[in-house]
Amino acid sequence: MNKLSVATISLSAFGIIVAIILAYEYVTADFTVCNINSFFSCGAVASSPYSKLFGIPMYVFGLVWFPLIFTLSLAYSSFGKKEINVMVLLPFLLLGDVFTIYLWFDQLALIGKLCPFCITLYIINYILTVFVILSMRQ
Amino acid sequence: MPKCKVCGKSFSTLESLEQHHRTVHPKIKYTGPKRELPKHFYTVIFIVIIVAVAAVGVLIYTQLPHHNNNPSILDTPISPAFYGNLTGVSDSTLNSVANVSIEFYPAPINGPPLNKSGLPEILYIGGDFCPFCAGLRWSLAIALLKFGNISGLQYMLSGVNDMNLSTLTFSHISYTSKYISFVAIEAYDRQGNNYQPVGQAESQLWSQYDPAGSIPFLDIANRYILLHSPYDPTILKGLSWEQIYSQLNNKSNPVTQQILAGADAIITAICKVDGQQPASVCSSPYANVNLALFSPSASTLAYAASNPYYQPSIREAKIE
Repeated sequence: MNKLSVATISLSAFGIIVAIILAYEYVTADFTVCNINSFFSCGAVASSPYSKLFGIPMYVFGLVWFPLIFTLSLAYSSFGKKEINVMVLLPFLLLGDVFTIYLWFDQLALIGKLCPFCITLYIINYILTVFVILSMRQ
Repeated sequence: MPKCKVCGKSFSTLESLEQHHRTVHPKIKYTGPKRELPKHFYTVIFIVIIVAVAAVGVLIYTQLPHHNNNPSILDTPISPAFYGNLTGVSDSTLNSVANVSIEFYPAPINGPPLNKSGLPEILYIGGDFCPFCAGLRWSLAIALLKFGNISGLQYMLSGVNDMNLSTLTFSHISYTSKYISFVAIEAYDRQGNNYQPVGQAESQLWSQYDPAGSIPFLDIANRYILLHSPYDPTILKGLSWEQIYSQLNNKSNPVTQQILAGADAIITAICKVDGQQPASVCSSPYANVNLALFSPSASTLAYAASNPYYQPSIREAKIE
């Protein structure tokens, strides 16, 4: 087993779990877990019209993104036995990292609140990128 | 062809090299040959980043507030185009947002009938500086125009330190309708100073249904009250008057959706107090939204409690 491959697969699986919890809170409008205070509040972010992009609720992006990364890391590492395929994963993850610039802007500049679960997903993407870059250096 | 770094033996695959190393040289850590990336890999990565950054830059630019209002036209009559867009909101657009949820709906009360000149009276008390009044006035003006005509609408911005939101003011309006009467009092000017006096009868209603004396205060014939903007007015932040009114028939615009959903709720409440007149308006889906939708979640109440402007809404929920 390749440690970095296993770590990447595990972390992207964790991303899927967080994305599902976030989607569940959006759909049920029950943000009891995710509302820390008036600033760190998933409810406040979700109720803003800026929580949609091109009419698509932001949580949908997480629901698509992390299963995609999970599948790619799983498939291109032979279920963690080999090294991660950097050529496939790195462009995807970098795209995701750049897209989070917009998501930060959206929450901080337009909505004026932060959604803790959303931030967790961004951080997971950043860490996955670091794993893949480390894998390049092996 | 991969070679063993220790003994120099060649192998056809990386797997066979690794197996050889672990079997023949078990005491030496296996590091394997360095992975070779395609020739143009870094160029591709660079292009991906540039394109993504450019796309995100465009996305951010399109969302950035581009406020190009000219404050010198405050307190002057709104342009014919502005008024035309307020009156020109189509039934189809209003219907399209009938199921869009908003933050605050008119809450039912059971006061004695409130009439003026024999017609159900709609009483509005607000202030030019107040951002929540700024939000409410967009929805209210559109709603009132379904029942009559407004003249004297003027340009207004909420206070400089109160988000500076583009809106209109009711301070010099005249409203004519066969179905309802409308009394508007802008109790404070844009700087927050006392402006138009609140009459004794209006003051009594205001303190009865809103003991905190917060604004906006909207009393719909003593049958419904609304003590807040129907939607979060921060969505107007940075938008010019034209950017708002020119989109009032754009069903997919999130700001339009919130303004018009607020108008739908107010129209519904007015139809319930004026005998469902005119029938052409009151029989429409947009005039029959579910006002009982206001059942704030724990998180909304928690959010409300954290913001002094939202506190009246908690009371509003309790009245219902």
